[in-house]
Amino acid sequence: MNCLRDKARLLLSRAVSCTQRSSCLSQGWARHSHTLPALRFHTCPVAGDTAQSVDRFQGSNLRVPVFNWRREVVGEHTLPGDIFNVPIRKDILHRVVRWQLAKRQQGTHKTKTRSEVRGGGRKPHSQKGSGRARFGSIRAAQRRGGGIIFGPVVRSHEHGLQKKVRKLGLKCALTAKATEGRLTVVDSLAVDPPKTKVLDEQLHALLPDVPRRSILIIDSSKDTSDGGDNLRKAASNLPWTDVLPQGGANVYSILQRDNLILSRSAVDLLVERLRQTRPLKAETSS
Amino acid sequence: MPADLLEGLISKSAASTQCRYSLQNMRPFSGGHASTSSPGEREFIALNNLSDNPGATHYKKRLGRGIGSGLGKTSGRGHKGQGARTGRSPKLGFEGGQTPLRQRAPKRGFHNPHAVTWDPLNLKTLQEAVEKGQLQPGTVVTMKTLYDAGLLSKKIDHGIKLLGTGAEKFNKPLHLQVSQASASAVAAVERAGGSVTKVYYNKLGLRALLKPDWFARKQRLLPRPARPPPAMAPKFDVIGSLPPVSVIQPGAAVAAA
Repeated sequence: MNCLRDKARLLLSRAVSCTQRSSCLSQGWARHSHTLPALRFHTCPVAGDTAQSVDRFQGSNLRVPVFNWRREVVGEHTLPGDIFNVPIRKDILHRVVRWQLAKRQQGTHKTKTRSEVRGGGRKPHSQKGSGRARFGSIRAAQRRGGGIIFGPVVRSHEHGLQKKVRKLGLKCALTAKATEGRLTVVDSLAVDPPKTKVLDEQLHALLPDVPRRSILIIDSSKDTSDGGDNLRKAASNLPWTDVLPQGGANVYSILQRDNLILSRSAVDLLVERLRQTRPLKAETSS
Repeated sequence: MPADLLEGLISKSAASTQCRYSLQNMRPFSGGHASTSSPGEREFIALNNLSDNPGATHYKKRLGRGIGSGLGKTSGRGHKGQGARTGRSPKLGFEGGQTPLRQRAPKRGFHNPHAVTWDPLNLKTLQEAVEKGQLQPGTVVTMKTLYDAGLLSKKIDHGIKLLGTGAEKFNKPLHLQVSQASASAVAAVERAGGSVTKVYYNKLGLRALLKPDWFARKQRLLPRPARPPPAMAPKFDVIGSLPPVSVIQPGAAVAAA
């Protein structure tokens, strides 16, 4: 599959050079810098401005088309506004990403203190009378080959983050993708036959404008028909393409990739999960 | 400088950014709050441009790093003495060897280890709970019911005493089983068509009543109901059963009255 990787690189380099050549009228997105000057888009008369101003209201539901793999519209889906249209809190996203990265840090780092460095049990020379400086050990910190003071020790870097903040972070990440127009809802993510080539072509058809296909695909679970094992097998060797079940959807993975593809059932399950509240006291105790 | 001109162009074309999405999708996504930094730039949220709010992070004090830092030579610990050394600082309330304040004051009063305290529950709370639908009017309300409805505190020592705050407005018929009740509360409940039964649970029994899960989890049997001590017996109507009886028995209300 090295050829695919090369192909992707080629596409990337072409896209970058393209944007450099015609910065004003280029249709592609800037790849390396995530800051995109609005000048890049071709100025055209604003159609449907009134509809937009209604939709822009925070908290309102978003109605989006549902595509199939050939980018044909096969239906419509409503993304609830309390999850896909919340105010984007960058600070919350930052905190959640930091929490995720800290949590996954292995923490296997260690230096040896003077007691752990081999040797050094004997007093090098007598305290007095030798004409030399006083020393108790050859492994003291100031000596060559000596121990390290306050060096790193094996530890967990994990820190806490409130569950409500984590939940809000996920909502913000989904909202960010939705408002940027980089969220696509698909009716089914099934790949048949389970070949990388097939999936590559399908993704190309689904997202034709995207030069670097940096994509996170979220299906409902590992063993359902909308994606499942076939999708994972097919995507495992595609560069910049990740697959997650909806239960594993997280802020870091969403922000890591440019585009987000959700299956229709994944959206429903995700919404249901994010709306769940803590069970009432009466339910738990009886 | 063509800055003004550029800005004008940018603001004009900011609307067209959304227009592009409207062509791409059937209904446009809202794009209002994605770019909060400046009107001209459309900034995609990605891992490389996240930041916390300014002032959200505390920076570590760097002790002993030169005069300019203000925490140089003695690292803010002052000169020689116990406070300047490493290790534990003197315990709280230690006054350098002088008799501390808490020892200077004379002892006063006494602690009664046998004291029985009732957690108060007011009729006003019950009235509100019924109005909110947390309690059903006309039913038997045990302390377990009240606990599950979230009307009691988490830790209850010996039981609940029903008190008469809000008695004049109380009008919901409830058959209450509580430890104690004031005369005004009993009168108000009966006026509303309910009844009050004073049931006795000892501390273990009360725990079995409120948290039967704990016994199930530990695979223990529920304790048998205990009799009240002779001195306390006249204060109660019945010995509380475990698990509680929550069906209205024909003679119960009469016996309570």
